Amino acid sequence: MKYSGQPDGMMQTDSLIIQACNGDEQARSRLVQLWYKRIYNYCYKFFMDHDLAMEATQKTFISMYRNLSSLQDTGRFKSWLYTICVNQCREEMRKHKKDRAVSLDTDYLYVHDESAAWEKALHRHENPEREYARQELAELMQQCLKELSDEQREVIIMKEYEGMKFREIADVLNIPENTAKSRLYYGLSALKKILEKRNITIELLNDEN
Amino acid sequence: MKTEKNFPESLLMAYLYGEASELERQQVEQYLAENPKARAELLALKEVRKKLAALPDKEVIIPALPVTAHHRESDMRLLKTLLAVAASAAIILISLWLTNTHISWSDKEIRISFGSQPNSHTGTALTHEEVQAMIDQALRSKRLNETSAALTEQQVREWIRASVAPVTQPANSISDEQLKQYTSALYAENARLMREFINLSAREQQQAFEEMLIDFSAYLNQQRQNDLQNLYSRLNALEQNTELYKQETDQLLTGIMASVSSTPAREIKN
Repeated sequence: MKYSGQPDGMMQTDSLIIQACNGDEQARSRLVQLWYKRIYNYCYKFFMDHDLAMEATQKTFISMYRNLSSLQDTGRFKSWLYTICVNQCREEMRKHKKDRAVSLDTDYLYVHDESAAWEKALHRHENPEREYARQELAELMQQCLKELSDEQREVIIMKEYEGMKFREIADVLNIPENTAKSRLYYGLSALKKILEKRNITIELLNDEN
Repeated sequence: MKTEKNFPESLLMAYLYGEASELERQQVEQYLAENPKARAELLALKEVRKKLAALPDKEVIIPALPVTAHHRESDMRLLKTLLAVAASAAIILISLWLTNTHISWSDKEIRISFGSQPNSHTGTALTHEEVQAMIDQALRSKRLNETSAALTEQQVREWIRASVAPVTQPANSISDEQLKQYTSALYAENARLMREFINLSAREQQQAFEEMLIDFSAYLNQQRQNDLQNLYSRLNALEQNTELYKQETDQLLTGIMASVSSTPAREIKN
């Protein structure tokens, strides 16, 4: 799997967590460095918006700082951190939906992203055409993921991108393992339908890939 | 497309993600072998997963977390508050020291004084505090009386006046005497200063006036001289003009006379 979900060697993280729990300031900032990218990427895929993702990520780590000393089982750190993250994301989403009449489903946020994809593609050494197609597919997947319900999206992100086991996902969301599995199943099925709706573009891109 | 009711989707998911036990795996594979529809669905889901993989991680720059800043800030805030308290206490102490303040407690008063400590009880120089203390005492006795025998307000006032009188009277007489002395001294001093000032100013005015007169006469002289010069030059010019005019007329006249005297002679000849 491309996304290991584990930022560094497990042992190193373990001792780090213990140090951080005991109030070691340096260990804490090292933990932030190790997990920042993962948490940010979870948040980003949840919101598909950089600013909201940054907001939720920041809040997650602030909460981590405040509550780290109360973490009993250091082995549960990953689940614990993701639980904070999931809750922050949900809260942020609720606020955002309340604050703005404009729904996240509108595409206005991603108009500039497409040009960015073009530019990024041009700087690569690979076949730019294929690279662009890949970017395009990524773009499309973003939009499709956005159409899912928050609950389904959470599970898909955790499973596909954060590389978590079903046991971990169940732990994070505080649900039975089977519920996590069936939620993922319905999420994937919904995603499949959404993709089928956009079938033509996908097939086109797929051929090129 | 849906799995059949008797086959749980959770098992299918475990299989899809390679988290099924050996027994579960066999179960799923058997089920798939019997159901081509389910096979197609699993394939489709795999396809979805492949597409999901196209969405890469985004790189992110870790910003300075406000957490650590927050921690330090709160520490700093506490430190700042403590420093502020310490500084203000220091300022108060220094100002007390600079103004040479004395604070003393006795049974009925708090005495705060700047500079040298006043001698506490000289009969004539009663301080405001002492008067106040007396009034307080009087009021207290009044209150006491009110509760027990009920003195009239008039009586209390008289009593206060009586108790304050020995304090105010000597102070008044002394200040009257001093005032007279002081005013007379002031008067004399003022008179002297005034006289000096008037003398000085008169002298200076005279001097200035004289200087002005001299200046004025000089100016008048100069003016007259200028006028006279002007007049002379004009007269001279007029004189010269008339002289010239006289000469010219003389010449003209002699010319005419000569021509007149010669012409009749020629006419007579003709």
